[in-house]
Amino acid sequence: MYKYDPIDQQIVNERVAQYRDQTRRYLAGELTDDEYRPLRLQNGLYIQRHAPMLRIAVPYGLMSSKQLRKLADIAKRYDRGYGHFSTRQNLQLNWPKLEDTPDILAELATVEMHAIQTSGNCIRNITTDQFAGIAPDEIIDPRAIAEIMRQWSTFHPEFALLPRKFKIAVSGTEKDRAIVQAHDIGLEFYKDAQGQMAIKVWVGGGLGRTPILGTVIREHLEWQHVLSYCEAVIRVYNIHGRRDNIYKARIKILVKALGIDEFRRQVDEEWAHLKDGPLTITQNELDRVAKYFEPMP
Amino acid sequence: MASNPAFAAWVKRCVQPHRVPGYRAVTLSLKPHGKAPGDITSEQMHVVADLADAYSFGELRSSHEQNLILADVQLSDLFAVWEKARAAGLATPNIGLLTDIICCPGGDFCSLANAKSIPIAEAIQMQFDNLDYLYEIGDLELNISGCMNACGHHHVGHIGILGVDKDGSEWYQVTIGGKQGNDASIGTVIGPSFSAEEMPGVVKRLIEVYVRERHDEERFIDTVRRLGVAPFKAHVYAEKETA
Repeated sequence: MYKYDPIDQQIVNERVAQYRDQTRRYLAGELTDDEYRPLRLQNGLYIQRHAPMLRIAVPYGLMSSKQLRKLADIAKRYDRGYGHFSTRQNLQLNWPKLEDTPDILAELATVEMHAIQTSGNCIRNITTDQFAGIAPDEIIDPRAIAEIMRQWSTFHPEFALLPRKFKIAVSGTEKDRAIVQAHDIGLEFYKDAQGQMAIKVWVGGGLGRTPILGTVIREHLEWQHVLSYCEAVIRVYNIHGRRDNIYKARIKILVKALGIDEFRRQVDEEWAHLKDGPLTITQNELDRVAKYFEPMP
Repeated sequence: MASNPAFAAWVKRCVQPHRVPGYRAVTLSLKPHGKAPGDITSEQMHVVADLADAYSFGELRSSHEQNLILADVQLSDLFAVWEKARAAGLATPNIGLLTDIICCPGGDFCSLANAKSIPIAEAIQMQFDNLDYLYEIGDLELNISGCMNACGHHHVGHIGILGVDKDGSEWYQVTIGGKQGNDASIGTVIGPSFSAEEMPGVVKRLIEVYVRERHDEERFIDTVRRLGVAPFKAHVYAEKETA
């Protein structure tokens, strides 16, 4: 599985320090509830019925035994001795004390974990098939691209305040197990006629109040352009998605309102500015990240 | 295996194929009957971590169905994994069956919820706490959300249950015919909503129609797709009126 490099570790450590100070100021009365709310939400902390709830990110559902032991110890020490795995492959703690949350995040950082972007109107944890890399019906193991996308989406400055939350799923199997059609963006990896890795891109799916299955916006996307293409999709959504009505704020509503052809036209127009720019993934970069996901046996 | 039906049942439901010969994936069920789906204690997490170290290269995965997976287990280790998982309550042989319920935290925890979801899941699990009957019913995905935000993916459950608020009390709307996968579909509402107490009986009656109408080897979802909502609706609400 992916291992943090010094930059990954540094930004997570710095985020813990920043959050610790924000929480200190809140508890000291220097920040109001309204001021603190977006700060805690950026770190996965909700205030629920009985207690806060901390949602810890498990990128594409992959964990090491060391990480799970840390989660066990955190649940024991700071919560009621259990956790809850969510339907987005994350782990939720139901009873942490708010004042303990900086320490919890500091503990998580020691095992390359965090709760960044597990809530709020940003790009959330990317999910995939739990059998990625081992399934007999798998054509492409999508985890290397998922990790590259995790790095791209984490702290993405343009997408820190989208109209609403944004969920991406990736899958590279014959039989979809990641519900790609029920995501804001679903990426279905396959091998094209030339034997190259390509992506069928679904957009505008989602459950919630208005359940809609996604529509294919692009049948064939070359993998090198997956970041720039997703960036174009989310930019169009960020500009035109509704912010006046929370119930109509997801990308699915925009895609329905514009129609897929007009939405695609706007995305392509935006993509023309982004394609072949710095977001292009090189073979070297893919190979570098893919090394972390080599088959075990 | 033939001499150990409990192990055989677990292999059938909780062991999944692997691309490398001699290896299998193991799904550790976080759905023991009568407990909150997806919950795991600290002690169980340590057991899973130990299993991952001993038998699966120190890694594990979580699924959107709220179970844990050891992805790379050697065939010859399956029995040892089963014994240890079973001792820790992680080997309920119900993966992909009616009691492998996807369920959000619901009104017990979540501020958004209109209704509780965990007690509904637990009551349904107890109603169907009979492995032989569960195997007879076969593959069936039942998903529960405590509100329309749908964290429990109820729209794509073969049976979907949605908690709704009517005049301050908790009610449950039932859909059938939802499905995840390449041929995904959104479920259809069968009719007016039910009280919490009615829910296990409602699921029981949906299953009765399926068992009565199914063709050989036909899954619940395929029977629903073939027949539509009508016969299910008729049976569920006929019982309700005569009750």
